[in-house]
Amino acid sequence: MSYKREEFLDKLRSGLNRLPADELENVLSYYNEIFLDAGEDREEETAENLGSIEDIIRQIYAENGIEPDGRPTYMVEELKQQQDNMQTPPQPPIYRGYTVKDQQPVNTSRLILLIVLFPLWLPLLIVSFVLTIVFFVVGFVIEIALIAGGVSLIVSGIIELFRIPPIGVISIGAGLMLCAVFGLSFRAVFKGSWKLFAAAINKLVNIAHNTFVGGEPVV
Amino acid sequence: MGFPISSGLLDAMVLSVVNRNDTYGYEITQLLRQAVDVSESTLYPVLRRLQKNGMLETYDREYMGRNRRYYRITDLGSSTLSNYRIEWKDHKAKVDSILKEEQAV
Repeated sequence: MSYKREEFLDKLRSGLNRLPADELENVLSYYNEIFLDAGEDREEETAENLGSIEDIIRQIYAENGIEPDGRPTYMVEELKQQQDNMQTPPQPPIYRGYTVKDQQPVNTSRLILLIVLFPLWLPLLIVSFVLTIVFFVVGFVIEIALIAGGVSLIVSGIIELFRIPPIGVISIGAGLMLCAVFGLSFRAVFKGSWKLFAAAINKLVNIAHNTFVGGEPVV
Repeated sequence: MGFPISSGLLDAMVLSVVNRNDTYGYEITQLLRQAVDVSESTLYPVLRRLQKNGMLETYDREYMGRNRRYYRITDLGSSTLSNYRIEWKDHKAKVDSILKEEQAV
């Protein structure tokens, strides 16, 4: 299979659509230059020398810490690594092969461990999932109770104001306090449960990623 | 070629080529091809990594109505290259000491 320059670049562009724009631009101009420097009459040959576009795409995604399915992996870790790089002199690069397969082997021992421990982690998983949902529901119920109680106290306080004014004032005051608590806690409760939920999912995905794709390149 | 080339060695060779004089992607590959079997596709991540690690910098120069990206070695790149050269000499000597033909004792 061989592609001419335009065709090659088009395929590269659509295959690398999840790459950050500046990085994509860099890749495309590099390959465009290679074609032009090799000579317009040699486009077929050049494309052949460059090898499979799929391999190129896979490798560039790997180098940028993006999985082929588009999920950026370990952006936080990458950021940390960048900072580390700035602080410490660069280490000699890790020796590794050039195919993506070599870089990301399936971690067999961990996989087996996961399967063997299946009866242990599955219940744990379910329990943590249920707990997260319970937190969410309880938070929701408490918030509803707060706002409902607050509003009804204010309303009944206003009615009471005309019969026994001191009790009416106390009632309105208590109602306002409940509403205030609602207002203050509303975001925290929902954000908190959502964060908990997201963290749990993230953790799971990370474990799966480490097991099936492999976290570090093999030395 | 029978011996696979490692990432570190490739980095060293690219640094060495750019160290001679500023050059561009296609020319780097052509020079490396005299010694090892690499393609421009293999070289792209290497060049990008060396750039990100601050060992190479780039600048664009016009060539026949289009841009050509030139690579220039940085101070960090030069000192890394010196280290690579020392390491390679050491490595080569060790491999040679094992690979040499037996001598009658």
